[in-house]
Amino acid sequence: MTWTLLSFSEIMVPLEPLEGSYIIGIMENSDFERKMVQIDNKWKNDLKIGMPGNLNRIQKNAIMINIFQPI
Amino acid sequence: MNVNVIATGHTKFGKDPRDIGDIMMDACNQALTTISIKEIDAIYIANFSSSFCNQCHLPALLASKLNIHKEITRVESACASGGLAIKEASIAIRSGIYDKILVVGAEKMTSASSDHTNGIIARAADQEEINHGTTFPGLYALMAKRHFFEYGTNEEHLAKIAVKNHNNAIKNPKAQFHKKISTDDVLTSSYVASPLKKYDCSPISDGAAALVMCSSKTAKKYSDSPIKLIGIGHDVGSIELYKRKEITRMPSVVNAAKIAFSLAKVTAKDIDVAELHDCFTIAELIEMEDIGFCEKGKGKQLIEDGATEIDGRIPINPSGGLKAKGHPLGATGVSQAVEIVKQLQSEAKERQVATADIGLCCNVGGSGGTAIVSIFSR
Repeated sequence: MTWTLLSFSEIMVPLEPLEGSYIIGIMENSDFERKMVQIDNKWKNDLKIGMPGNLNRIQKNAIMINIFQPI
Repeated sequence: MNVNVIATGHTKFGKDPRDIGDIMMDACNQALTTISIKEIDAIYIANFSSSFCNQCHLPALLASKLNIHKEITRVESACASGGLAIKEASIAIRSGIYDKILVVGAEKMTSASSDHTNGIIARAADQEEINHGTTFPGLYALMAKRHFFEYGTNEEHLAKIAVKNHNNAIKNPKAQFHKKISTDDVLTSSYVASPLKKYDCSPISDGAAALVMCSSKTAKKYSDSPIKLIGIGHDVGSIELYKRKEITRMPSVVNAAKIAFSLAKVTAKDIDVAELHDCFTIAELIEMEDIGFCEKGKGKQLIEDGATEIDGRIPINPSGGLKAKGHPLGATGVSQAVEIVKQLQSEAKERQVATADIGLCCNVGGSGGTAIVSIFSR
């Protein structure tokens, strides 16, 4: 299933226990399901609202994190 | 609604070396000049979190400080705690349970480290948002980014809000910042959560504000210029920003405003002055639209036209707002009401709006999950 990026922000003042800067976002699928996501910093200069992507799930500190992977 | 404000108190916001009990006492004592504490039937305390200064049980703390036995209740709804305390007091007066109520909002935030403070404030967000590292600047940044995309708003529009509110705060002796800033200062300040920068964000503050509220019959006994609370709306919706149908709208603000306007029998066009919850500059802009001061997406036009300046068509945040007056979370909603009361009593001095007959406050909790809109008139 393809997801669309609705908005994103680079967080420069992190929330503990996170460190450094990181990107958060909101994505939506064709069923209008929404998810909070993190996005790898390597995509920082390529991100655009409305761009499509895939959903990956990873475990960090016993918490499942949604990752938006642009395509 | 048969509810009036007869007295106010307000500490200077910013870093205050006193403990939260003494800060609360200061605001209360200022409000208790024309009425004695013995005559007060009940007290409502608005406070967000005991974690900032490691002090719980504020009702008993205040009772000790005032050397009284009373019905004292603490209310909490994140940054909308102050507005909620006013609403609860208004219900009690309207129902006839109490006749004279002291409302005090207080927060002591500067004792904690900034990292710890960030973490405490984040507890007002959804757990899934927190798990993904979302901060409050981050949530409002997501709204801003989407607003830019949908409506063509930009960072300069937001910068002009910050500049206006800093200019207004210079005229407010109780404000945290008395520092003029330029649009360039804002635009070149460092990003906190893109596109929001340091000067788009309200500060960490200590402070307290207080009101004495009573019935109309009693008001005449204590004040020559009581201010009437003519409408108050309270709405609570989704705590999660990401699940809202529109990221650029706060439905709780829309709904609370509708209720308040309906009770007050006025419309947005009748409002002469407003204190909006500008925890971040984008919040002021979105609330302007959601309350109905302009159409959705047209907030930037009001800013470009200077309509929200003190001498503009709809002056917004003459106090300096949360942005520059300061934002001690639990005190904010009460502080907004204090400013509107001062404006309607023509006691706002240098920052006085020329014609102020009807004023509005919008107090928001979280990323818009809670909103209280109140309308006052002479």
